[in-house]
Amino acid sequence: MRNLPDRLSSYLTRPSYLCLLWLGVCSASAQDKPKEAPTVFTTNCAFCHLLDKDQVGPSLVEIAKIYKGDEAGFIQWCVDPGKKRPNMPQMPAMAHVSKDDLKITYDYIMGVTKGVKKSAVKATDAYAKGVTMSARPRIIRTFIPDSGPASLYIALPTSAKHNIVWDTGLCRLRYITIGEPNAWSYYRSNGNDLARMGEKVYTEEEVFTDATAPDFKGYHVKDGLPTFIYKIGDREIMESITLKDGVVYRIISSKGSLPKYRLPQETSKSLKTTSRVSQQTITIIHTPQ
Amino acid sequence: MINGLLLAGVSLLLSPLTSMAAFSWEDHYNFENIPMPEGVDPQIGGITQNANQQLVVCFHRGEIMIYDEPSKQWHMYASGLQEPLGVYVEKSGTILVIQRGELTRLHDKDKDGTADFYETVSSDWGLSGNYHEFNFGIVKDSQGNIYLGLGTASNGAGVREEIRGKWNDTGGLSHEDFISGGEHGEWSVKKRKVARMYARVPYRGCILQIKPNSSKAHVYATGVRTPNGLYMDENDQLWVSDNQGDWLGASKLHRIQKDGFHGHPASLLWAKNSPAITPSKLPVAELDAMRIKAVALFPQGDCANSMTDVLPLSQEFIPVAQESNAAKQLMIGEMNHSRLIHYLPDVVNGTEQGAAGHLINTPSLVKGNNSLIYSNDQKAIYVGKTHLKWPGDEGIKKVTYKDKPYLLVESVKLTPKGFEFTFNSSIEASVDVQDYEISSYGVRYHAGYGSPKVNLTTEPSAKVTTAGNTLTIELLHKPKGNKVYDIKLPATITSELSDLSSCRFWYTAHSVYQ
Repeated sequence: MRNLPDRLSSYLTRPSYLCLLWLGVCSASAQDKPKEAPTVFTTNCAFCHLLDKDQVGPSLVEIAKIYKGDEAGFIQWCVDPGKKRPNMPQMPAMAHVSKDDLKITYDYIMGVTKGVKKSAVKATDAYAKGVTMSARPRIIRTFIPDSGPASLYIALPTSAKHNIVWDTGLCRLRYITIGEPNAWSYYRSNGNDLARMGEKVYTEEEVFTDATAPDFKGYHVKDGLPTFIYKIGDREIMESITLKDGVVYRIISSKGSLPKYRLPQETSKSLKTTSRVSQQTITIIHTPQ
Repeated sequence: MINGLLLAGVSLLLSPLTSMAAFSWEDHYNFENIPMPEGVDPQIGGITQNANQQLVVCFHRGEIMIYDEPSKQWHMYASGLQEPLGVYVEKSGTILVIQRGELTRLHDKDKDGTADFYETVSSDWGLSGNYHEFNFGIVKDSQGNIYLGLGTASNGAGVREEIRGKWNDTGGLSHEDFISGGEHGEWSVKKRKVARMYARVPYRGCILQIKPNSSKAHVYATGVRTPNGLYMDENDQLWVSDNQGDWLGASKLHRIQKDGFHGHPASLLWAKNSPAITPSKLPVAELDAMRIKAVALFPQGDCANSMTDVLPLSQEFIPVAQESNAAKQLMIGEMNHSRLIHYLPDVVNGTEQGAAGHLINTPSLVKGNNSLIYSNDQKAIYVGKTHLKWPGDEGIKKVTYKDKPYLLVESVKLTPKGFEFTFNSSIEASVDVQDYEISSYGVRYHAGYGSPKVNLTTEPSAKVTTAGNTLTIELLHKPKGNKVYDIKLPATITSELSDLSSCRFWYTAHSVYQ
């Protein structure tokens, strides 16, 4: 500036000029930064696809890797998505998005992922230790294998962590396991999985052999343990589950006469089962061995 | 002179910045997070209030908890339910909850503050074990009848060997055709024979009615897909929101008609005169003639995506000026975006239709808006959020109106030549037709997922006039029926209250004036 005419030099150092210069510099810098996500992306894609992590759908880094140099393949997938990843929900078709907008989306994904690496998502159940998920006793309805779709388990406070699987559709005990049930894969999905119930130690066929479809009426809860109420024909049955000194008692009673029944014959190495009938009450006792 | 030019240049550069400081929802609403209970997965299935104005909330992993806002304390009322997605406090204090397997009434018989009897009110519907069979609700009419919405199953997965309810094998599709794994074969192969959404066990895809003191579920209406929002208005008219997908080119708002078929064919298996073939294979023209069309369509992405709970619009929360305008308007939640959807009804030639817009359209709301309830004074809403494995969020957001009115559109009416917008205040608006971007398109009714914008057409305006609080747009071409009109008003519309809060509306024109 030393050699510039004094008048010009004085303008170049005025605050107003410097302000303009600063705005110009900012504008130039903005052109070097990645473009903002286009509206088509924020409207249709951003809530399922994060930049560098899998979430509802795969990350943009993963998508860019798959479709590098394949704009047509990317568009085809968006318009008619297949299903490649069993642990992710089905992608809805982007039928409402024009091909031009899908091309804009492709360009954006290819640009924004340059130099970005994929991050791993830590997968642990943050709520496994919550009281409703870990206390014993507890009663939990979920999708349980080898039982009807409307089943529950009762996690008992025994040393081996016995769990009774009870089917509210058939109104009966299905089996008993030991170990801590784990339904995280069900909870973290859209419900598309079954709980892991531990090791089966006892399986039971129906106690009541009456052909009439049972009708589940609900259950009372006392100290975390249930008394199931159901009807077989016109008979109302109550089935309570209690624990004493580590032994499980099932008391099944009817206000009137009992329906036709069969006392459990099942045997198990780790669970001794005995049963008796007195008046209108069946008592089944499971003693851990 | 050079100084003047420099200053002018700076002004020009800065002017876009000042005009960008437009309407802000945060100037009119307060957004706060309700603290979540320790150790509980904070995905919210449903919210209501009890007689003590405490929140009664059902959570994803089956807890029913009660929140006392003044003390910020949570209390466990019940637990162990399976995916409860609706909760209703009855006058007696018992709490109804809809879960996957049953409608449950929770009793606290010993009055210790926790449920001790989980009464099965009804389990009178099928369960295939398919993950997508969610159950929604709960509303009652003035006679005490309970209404639930049952979602359809998805071909994202099959079903289980043990199911509840009789399998419907219409069309030759047996139960075995839907079981996969091991000896049953791979689902990726089997699903090719299966419609995108299906309803092979009773009464998936139906609206159910359960009468007082009964456990029997009656099919009240058919033809829904994922009816995540049920609302009963004061005239015992049931409104249901449904999510886009196969046979739904856009999310929809249904005005449910008893015994009516509302469009998604899967549930026709449970209608009074069920078809003899797989319903999705019926001719589209036949299905189209049978169906009761939704009152309004909410175009995918632009307008809404996965709509949820429905609330009547309250003037305590949204500053609609005329009570007659507010009376029939609805607010609907949405999962994928941080906004609420606004339904503004219209009636043309006796046909219920209307417009959709946005409210509280701000990142402060956050997405995943699954369950909505007003505070007791209606000046606030509590928004419960969820995601499962879809887009969404967690927790409860409380949105409180600051009693500072802002400019909004409070009515959109079709006219013989275009549209008339009514605002809640006198406006200043451009009457330059170039400032109004309007397009029209059709939405396809078909088995495919969603719909392209069929015959997307730019609709130039011939004339725009304003008078006080109304703005009239006369289109160059008269409105046509069976179209959605996508109307973008200029963001420069302003009033003494504020700049315009929401500028874009989608009008579903089933019927037009001749």
